[in-house]
Amino acid sequence: MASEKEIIKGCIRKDKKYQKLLFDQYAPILLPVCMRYSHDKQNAEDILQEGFIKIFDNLQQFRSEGSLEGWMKRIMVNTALNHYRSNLKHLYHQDVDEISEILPSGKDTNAELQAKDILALVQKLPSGYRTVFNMYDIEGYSHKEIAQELDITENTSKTQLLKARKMLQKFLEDQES
Amino acid sequence: MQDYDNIGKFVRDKLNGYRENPSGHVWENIESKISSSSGVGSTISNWWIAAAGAVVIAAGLYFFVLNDQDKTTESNSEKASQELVEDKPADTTKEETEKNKELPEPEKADRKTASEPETEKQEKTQTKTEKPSDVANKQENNRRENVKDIQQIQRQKPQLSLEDLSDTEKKSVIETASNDILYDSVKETATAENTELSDDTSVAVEFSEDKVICGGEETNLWASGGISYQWSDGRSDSSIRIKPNQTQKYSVTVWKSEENKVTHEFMVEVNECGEIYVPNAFSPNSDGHNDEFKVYGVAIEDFYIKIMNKNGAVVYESKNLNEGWDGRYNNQPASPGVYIYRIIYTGVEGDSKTKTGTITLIR
Repeated sequence: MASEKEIIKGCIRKDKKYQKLLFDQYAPILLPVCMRYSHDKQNAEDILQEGFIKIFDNLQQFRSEGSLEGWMKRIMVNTALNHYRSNLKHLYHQDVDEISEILPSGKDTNAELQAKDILALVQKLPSGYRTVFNMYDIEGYSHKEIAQELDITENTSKTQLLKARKMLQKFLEDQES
Repeated sequence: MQDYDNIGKFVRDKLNGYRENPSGHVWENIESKISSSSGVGSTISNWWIAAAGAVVIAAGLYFFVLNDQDKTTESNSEKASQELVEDKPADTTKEETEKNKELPEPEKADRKTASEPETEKQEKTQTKTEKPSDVANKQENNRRENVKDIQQIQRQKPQLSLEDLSDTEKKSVIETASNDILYDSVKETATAENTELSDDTSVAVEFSEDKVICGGEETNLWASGGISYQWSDGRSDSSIRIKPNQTQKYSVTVWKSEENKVTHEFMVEVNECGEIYVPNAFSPNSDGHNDEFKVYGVAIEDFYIKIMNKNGAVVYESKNLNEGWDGRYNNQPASPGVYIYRIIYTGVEGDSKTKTGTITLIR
């Protein structure tokens, strides 16, 4: 089993074997990150793919004192944000009614909701809500940072977050009842 | 019924550690893309040579940046470097790549030192070494922009000596620097010089950003890179969950070793969300003070305001919280005196509220 350092060095040498190792080891962790920012798995895989290419291209910039996983996650988040920004024209136009219709119906046989169910619910959020929710509640960005990243006002960021939480809450309650 | 009050935490906890495998074609796609782009390193090294003018200033900042560097600069620099890579056309000039690869280390270093003092001179050097292909032109353009940036930085900070600066000044210098290209160039140069991964055990201490939250909300503050932590509220984890009722400061002391510690202060701003503030007077005389009547609020939904004069005529009406009344009615300045407003809005709780009152127009 190759150590993380060996894998990094191998990838910087552009050694296929180590590149595959890095991918196999981290793709299953990073895919859920991309999925949180996407409406479906296919879209998430596009982000994953693009993110990994950036990772391989920029790995020599990674400083070993930080966490590799954290660094890769940030690249994925940034890639996802780029995707979001380039799709901005579709933003906020999805109607709430429309959304509840496409909600996965029926209740989970398992009383306890599984991670993949939660992920599915997050994916059903309108992209603007989803992005702000992810950035603030999961990644820990501040409203100020979100405002800068997404070129919106802090107020919009706050409003979007509250709306996202409220909607998610409703989704969850609907799932349970 | 689950408690979904803290939905953010709920989702975060649920998704923590969740893994899902991508479809097989993802790796195949990546593999095909990375095999055709073996020249990436060269673009970056070209670029850092271009940015070398900044190194002079940046070198002194390096350790400070390392220490003070936070999430934002990290993501900024990532963004910058990503853009850099994206700028590069798919078929990078291979020749150039090879040329640069063969370039022996010392020569690279020489070039860097030679181009030290003025960026203009550096720009010329760059042009000379460039091949006149399209790609080269494109890269040159990028580089020009970089050089422009650097010149700007140099103008702003003509002679930078960190020793001369107070701590706050240092911080602002570092912030300027880290928000800029400068930081990247430092980082890349450092990487380029240590082609081997450094075994340096000194760890950069990082902190979470200052926060802006709504009253009643919880948030996380964190620090990393230390061996122990001491927060102003007495806790000693690397990350704390807080629920402040009002705007306040938190601080953390991070021990990097027994004797080496660093303290950081966080500002946590608590806003009254879903509530509005209505001023009671304004003076639309274009003096720059209170020229507009505007309602303030955070996280307000479905906002509506109507302002009437004493005769009951509607002088202003809007559904936009960010808009204000400039004191004009039918394109004429409205007369001074008392006006009545009615505001209907929905706050965080989702129920519609109405607020009425009067404002005085002063001229």
